[in-house]
Amino acid sequence: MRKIYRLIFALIVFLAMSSCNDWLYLQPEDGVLVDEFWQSQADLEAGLMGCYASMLGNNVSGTMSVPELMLLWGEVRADMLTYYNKEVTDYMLIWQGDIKPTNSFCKWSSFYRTINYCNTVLERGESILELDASFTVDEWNQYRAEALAIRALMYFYLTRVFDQVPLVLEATTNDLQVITMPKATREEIWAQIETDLAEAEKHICYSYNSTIAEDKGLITIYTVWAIQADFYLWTDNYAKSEQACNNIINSGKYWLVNGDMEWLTNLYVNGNSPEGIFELQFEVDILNPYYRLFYTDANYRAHPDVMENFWPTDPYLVNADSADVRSDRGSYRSGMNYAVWKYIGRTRTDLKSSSEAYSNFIVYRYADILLMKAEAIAAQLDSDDPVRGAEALELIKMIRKRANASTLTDEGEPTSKEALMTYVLNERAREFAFEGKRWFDILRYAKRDNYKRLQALKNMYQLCAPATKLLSIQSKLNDPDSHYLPIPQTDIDASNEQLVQNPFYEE
Amino acid sequence: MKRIQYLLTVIFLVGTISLVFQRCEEPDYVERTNYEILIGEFFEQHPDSFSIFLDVLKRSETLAFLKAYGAYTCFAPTNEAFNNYFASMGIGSIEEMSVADLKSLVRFCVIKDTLSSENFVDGRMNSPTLYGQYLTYGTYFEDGEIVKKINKYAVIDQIDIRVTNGIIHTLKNVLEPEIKTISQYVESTEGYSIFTQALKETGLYDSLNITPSPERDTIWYTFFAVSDEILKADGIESLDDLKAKYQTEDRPNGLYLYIAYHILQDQYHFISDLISSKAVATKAPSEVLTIRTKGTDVLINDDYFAGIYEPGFEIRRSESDQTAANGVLHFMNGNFAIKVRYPFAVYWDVCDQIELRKMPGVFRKNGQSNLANGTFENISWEPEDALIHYNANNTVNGDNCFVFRDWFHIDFRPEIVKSITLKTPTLVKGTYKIWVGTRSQASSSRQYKAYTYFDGEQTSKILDGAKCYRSYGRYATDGELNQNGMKIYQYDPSHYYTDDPAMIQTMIDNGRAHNWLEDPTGEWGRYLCQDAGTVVVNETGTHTIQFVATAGGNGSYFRMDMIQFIPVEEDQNWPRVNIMDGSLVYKEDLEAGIFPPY
Repeated sequence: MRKIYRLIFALIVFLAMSSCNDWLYLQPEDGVLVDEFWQSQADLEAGLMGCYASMLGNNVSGTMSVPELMLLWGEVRADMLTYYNKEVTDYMLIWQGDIKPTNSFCKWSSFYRTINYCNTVLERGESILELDASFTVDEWNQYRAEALAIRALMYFYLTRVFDQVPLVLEATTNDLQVITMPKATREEIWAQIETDLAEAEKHICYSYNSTIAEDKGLITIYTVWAIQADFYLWTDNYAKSEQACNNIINSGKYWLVNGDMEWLTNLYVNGNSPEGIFELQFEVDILNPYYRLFYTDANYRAHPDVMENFWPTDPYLVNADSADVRSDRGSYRSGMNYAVWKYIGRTRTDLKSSSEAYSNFIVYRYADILLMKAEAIAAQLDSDDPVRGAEALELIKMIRKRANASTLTDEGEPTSKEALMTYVLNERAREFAFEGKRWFDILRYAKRDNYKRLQALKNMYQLCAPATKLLSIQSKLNDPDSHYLPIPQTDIDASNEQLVQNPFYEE
Repeated sequence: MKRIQYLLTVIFLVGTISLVFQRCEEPDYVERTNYEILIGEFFEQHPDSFSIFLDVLKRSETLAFLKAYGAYTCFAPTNEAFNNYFASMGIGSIEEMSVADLKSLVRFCVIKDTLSSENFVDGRMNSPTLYGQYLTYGTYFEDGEIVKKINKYAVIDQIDIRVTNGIIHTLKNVLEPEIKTISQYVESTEGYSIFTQALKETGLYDSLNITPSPERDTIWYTFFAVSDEILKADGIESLDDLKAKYQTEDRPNGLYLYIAYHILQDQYHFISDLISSKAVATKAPSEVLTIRTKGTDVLINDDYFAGIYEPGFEIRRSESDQTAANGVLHFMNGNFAIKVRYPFAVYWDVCDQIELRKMPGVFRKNGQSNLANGTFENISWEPEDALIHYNANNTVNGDNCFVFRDWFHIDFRPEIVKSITLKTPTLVKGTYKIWVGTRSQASSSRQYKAYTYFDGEQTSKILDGAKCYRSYGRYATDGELNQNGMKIYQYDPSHYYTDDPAMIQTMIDNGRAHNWLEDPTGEWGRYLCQDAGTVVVNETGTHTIQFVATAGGNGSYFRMDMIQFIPVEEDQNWPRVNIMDGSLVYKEDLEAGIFPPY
């Protein structure tokens, strides 16, 4: 009998222990066990690959993944996308200009997770040099450069979307990525991005001397230059931006793919074309999220009036396929309720199946470099400078010629700063439709020279916003703080009053 | 004994286990079913900001319902707002206000609906206040700050405070109900003397001067006021000038119609309502205003009429949406009036929809596209989830005799698409015969039979998908066809064209003999217009035409190409429509040897 009691008692204790989740187990379940893991070069490489892999998806639960946000942050506040069915509530709220800190598009955790992975690699690498004798300083510098460049790219997105964010530079072991730090200033964030990119530029390789996919999917010096070109354009450092573009152009390593009937297939569907500089490498077993967004769930579609605005119908064209290669059946498909064809088409006519949704997401490509250079030149023009102006115009024309752009969208032969900048902006809208660039392009244009072109940002909404909300949307845009998303409410709540909300969103 | 021991063991076990399990949970001793507060309680908890409003609620005996469960939106003025209000009214405190005034003040602050900021549009709220009038909302940029205002003057302090029975928005100004009627408002506003005189002269002043009261049903009005300055720019400097311009011998009540054309009766239309209704009936009998937006501008009567653009008249948005006791006023930037129009025939190519025109890869391009409800602003069908098709080019066997060689291809039967409703182009007041241009399937019992409804009223004719004119070798005359409720509506320029002068007379003779048709054994007899009835159009503007399928089996296709509205007094058969370019082809031209090229 006693034995039974003892047994029962033991059982109770056992049950009691297990009822409290992991009562005696102190090691975190959701983080990497730092000290056990980081022992050799192979571990470090695995960690670095983890940084890349985290950019492919596998989102922090309840938030959107990095590749989703890279596209959507650049589009949802701009004009080219619209809703398909009215069920995407958070998108509808953005579309009608009612952005609140609880909106799911503000959740940045996925980005901070990638940043954390980079920080971990950067922290552990040095010690592995001592642990693993076969690991050389040069190899470590290459790894470090990659991690710095990825981290810089992540912060570059964050500062463009939120303006001021916490600048986390140390690794944490917690995967939920709740940030309990105050925000850094815009200058601090920019300085960090600049330093990280400069450091990466020093040590990063030109090529991995392996597959094309590696050179396009891993950070190379060309990727670093591309990020620099974009970053310096954003921070009004046009000469440096132009220099970075020139570095890539002069390498002769990239060129534009043909704007023929195979353009969509070569550039986007197959990916890793001669035009691609940095592409997120999706695979058969790592599908991209875009097919779901634009077809399966069909949350979004192209805005018909905006498409008409950028690609006006040419009544004299007999054959639709001789039109701008980026228009109907290129970027969108009018006959399928204006679906975003760029991500769901296998060819100009055929739809992909869901299992084929492994096309890359192009973060930077050569066309981007050419147009960034044109923009950098235009922004540097003080007065009418026909020589430099013509240089910028030539770059725009290259892009237009490749795409067989319509004469209806030809803006002539401008050489003035204003006209060229507008031309670049419009051409970028056509060239990078739905590639997560539009919002950043128009905001960069509007804010340049102390918000001189704010009206352009307001005018953008005339075609796309609901008529009954348009006046309010335009009024709000007068406050530059409204151009950035609010800090997620969940992070503010968890930060112990360290994180302060963007003043525009404070109630 | 053993049983007791067993029982004790079980009790001991259950007790111990439950005790042990409890260890992991935070004990919670506060006992309350709800932690949230009610609107009334919110004010009680914040006396430093809302003690006066709370006092107003108590004195007007309205606190009770704000402390009860329900769904309310409350716009609550702060103490500071009340103090400023008292100062401007020249009174010391609320004790000097009557209970009735306080009651209406409260009723004007409360909406029986939960409206958070996402529901606010540039214009009125979705629901009226308990007072009966609507509140308006707007976002403004003043002195470097975004300002949100109610009724254009009351600044919102805190927005979206959610409590159990609704939502509170706090205000820096006290909201007051508007007590002037539309007539009084126009009269008391400087620079509207001609309109005021015209209102009085026509007697409409009194119609717009009725203050709502609980004893009778309120008639709400919307009024578009035109200032003296704007009229002056139009050459009108006095009431006499206005009369001279609009009251002519053949329009003895022209002034009344002119003013009535600026009034919407029984329509409480703020700008946001105008934007979404697109066309509104005025107090002038059978006269409609159209509303269009261009960017942020809202325009009246900005239309294409019979293919010619007529620029519209802008509503001054900054001043408009002015609430009055019995409605809302808008102020115009231009002088608009009724246009005198005469009925004319409308040859409507139904596929020429703006949405299709914007699809360069689809519009009039070879192929078939599936179209879902919602694609068109002006075409819808039942059931909601059914698809219709847009077809173009020679995808039907035989000659394609559709105008522009495109048509809507509709699987038309009660089981698939049971009805389709279209908004017509503008039709001028008059009486019209409706012709529906389709391709039929001869002597097939599977084909649809359909009713036609014009503005919801059924016409006297039935469309029959099997109705054809197969004359087997004979060329039907227009008279024969009309007798059977049909007509040929299209002209194929390839049939009678010649550039050889010697051949022209032969062509004319052939054309006359053959009623300008091609080989009657071919497809021609199947492509024709069916008479869908005669209708009276009472209002100039767009109307709805609906086709409802009552029968039809597998393969019952309604191939819709054109709908024609031809005034009954005009020739119903000619001109025909050139299938290549949609132009009109007149019999006189053909008989004179002028053939459209192809």
